[in-house]
Amino acid sequence: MIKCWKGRSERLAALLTSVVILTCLVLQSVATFRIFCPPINLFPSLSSFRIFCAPALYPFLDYPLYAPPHYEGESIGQPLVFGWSEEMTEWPVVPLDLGVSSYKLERAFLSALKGDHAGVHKYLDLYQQRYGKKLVGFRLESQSLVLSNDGIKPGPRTVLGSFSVESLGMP
Amino acid sequence: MPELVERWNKYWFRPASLLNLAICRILIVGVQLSVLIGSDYHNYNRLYQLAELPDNLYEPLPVLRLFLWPFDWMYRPPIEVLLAVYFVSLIAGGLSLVGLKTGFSLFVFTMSSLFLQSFSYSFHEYHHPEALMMMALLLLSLGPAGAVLSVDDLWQRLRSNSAKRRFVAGTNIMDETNAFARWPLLLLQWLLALVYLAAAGSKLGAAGLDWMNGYTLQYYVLRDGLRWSEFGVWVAHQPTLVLLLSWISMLFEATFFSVLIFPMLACLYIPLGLAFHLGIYLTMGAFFFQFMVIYSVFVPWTRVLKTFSRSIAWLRPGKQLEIFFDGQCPLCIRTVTILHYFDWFNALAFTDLKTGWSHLARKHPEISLDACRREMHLLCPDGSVRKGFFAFRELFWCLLPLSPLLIVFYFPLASTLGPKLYRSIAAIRSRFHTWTFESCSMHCGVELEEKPPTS
Repeated sequence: MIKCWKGRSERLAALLTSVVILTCLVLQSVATFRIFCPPINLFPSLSSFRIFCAPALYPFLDYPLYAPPHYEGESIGQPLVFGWSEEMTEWPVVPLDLGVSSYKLERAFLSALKGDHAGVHKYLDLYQQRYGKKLVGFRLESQSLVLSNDGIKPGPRTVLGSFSVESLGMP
Repeated sequence: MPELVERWNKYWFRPASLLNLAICRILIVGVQLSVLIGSDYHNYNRLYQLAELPDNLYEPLPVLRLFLWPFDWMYRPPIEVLLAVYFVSLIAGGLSLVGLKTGFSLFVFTMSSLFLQSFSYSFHEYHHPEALMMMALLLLSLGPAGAVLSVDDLWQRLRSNSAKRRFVAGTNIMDETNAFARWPLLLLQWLLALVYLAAAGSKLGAAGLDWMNGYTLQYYVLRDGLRWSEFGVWVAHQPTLVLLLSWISMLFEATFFSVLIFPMLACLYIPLGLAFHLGIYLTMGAFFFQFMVIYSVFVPWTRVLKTFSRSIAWLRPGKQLEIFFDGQCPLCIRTVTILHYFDWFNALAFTDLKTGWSHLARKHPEISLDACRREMHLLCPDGSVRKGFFAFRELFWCLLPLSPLLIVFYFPLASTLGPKLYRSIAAIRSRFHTWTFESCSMHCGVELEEKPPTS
């Protein structure tokens, strides 16, 4: 024992603290090494041992972020939004112009394709306020970006869907 | 077995600086408080959003069930309860930040933060940056995090000097140690190392060495960059840079635990880790700010401050600034107790007029004892004297923790209004006394030699 400990109370405190230390280390190790949560794809027969899969032990977690591998030739779709006016003039709707992230704009328009128009209404209003242009329709495209040894290469572009403002129920 | 216990105790319970723990408390609690107040994902608006989610999405985490065990297994606290916990959390956080009833307030802050966090993640979606922060708060609350650099400690010193009815300097907080000051910081280091090992293990388990093929990181940086960061998109277009970053990331995460074996490596890993998380934020928009603050547990703050003090010693003259105070005046004793508390680098010397008046009078015969009683006098190393407001302004240059107050002291008109304010407080200082000396020099007079010694 450390000499500076003066009495029984400090020894008891050290004992209890040691229990806390060991508990924390054990719980974090269980989460880190997924001891009670073997990956189902690697050990399908051990599925009955999947007792403490994250976040069951929260705040003790495993950290499988960004783990799966990716290879040359794989692609990512970059969503692009185009709007057109009554004169059928077309131009891109750039997230930065509206002061929002690409993610938010993408989600709003993808939701619109599934019938949820609330997010698109907001951005349509914002666009008209900022630029004074009345948009009558939109088209959502996906620009494929391909991983390559020379960097990112543009791939084929596909139309995900298009719709008119009238169909959104807007005036 | 006894040898193992001895080793265990030496490792976890070796006396360590209390200041290290206290600084980490302030940084970690400060960040958690700012997250609770400022982050859209954690403030009270978020609680309203969560309260509106349908019940079928609600599946309380086990830790939340522990909080709610007296109620139904699937009990869902209403918004009123959530808001009450939120505001209790803010109050407890503020108290633990300044160190008032630190043990209790820090524990309440930890529990309320954990309650809100676990509730927020009971809707089939959870994120990682806050988990380690919860652990950090819990460990700090179980250690003597408020033993120094806290209102509690300062209050105790003030009470002690009040009881003694004289100024006793006490131990410099830079030199205060405790056998329980080391383990919370050390355990956080272990947890951080295990977290990085988990991250590296997941990547190697899922991808093997292919994770470092360049394309994997390029994919993630591009995907998240398209959503959040143009810089990320630019980085994704640099294949050689991405390949290099893949290797650095993996080596960093997989070998971070070596800091526990060779603490000197913290000099390499901590800047690298800060750059790592800052890079993730700039390219992918994922902000692990909590991790960056928890790195503070690796910093030997006391040693850093002592080194800093030595390295700026050339800025200060060799001698200390000497404060002459009225040792018969309770308010003056409180003031010098506070000044001494923040005099981490021993830049100040405190002299009671009763014992040091002759020394000052010999050097400055033009100063009267009455003037010294009216205003605090400061003897500078160059022999000049500052008094009252200007004495404080001068000595705050030497007190690192109080130096931000210099902004107030140099504010426009401060030189005009400051001395007036000082004199008006000094004039009514008897009203601040909760106790009086029978021999108080202000009111009853003290048998001091008014005239400077002639010899």
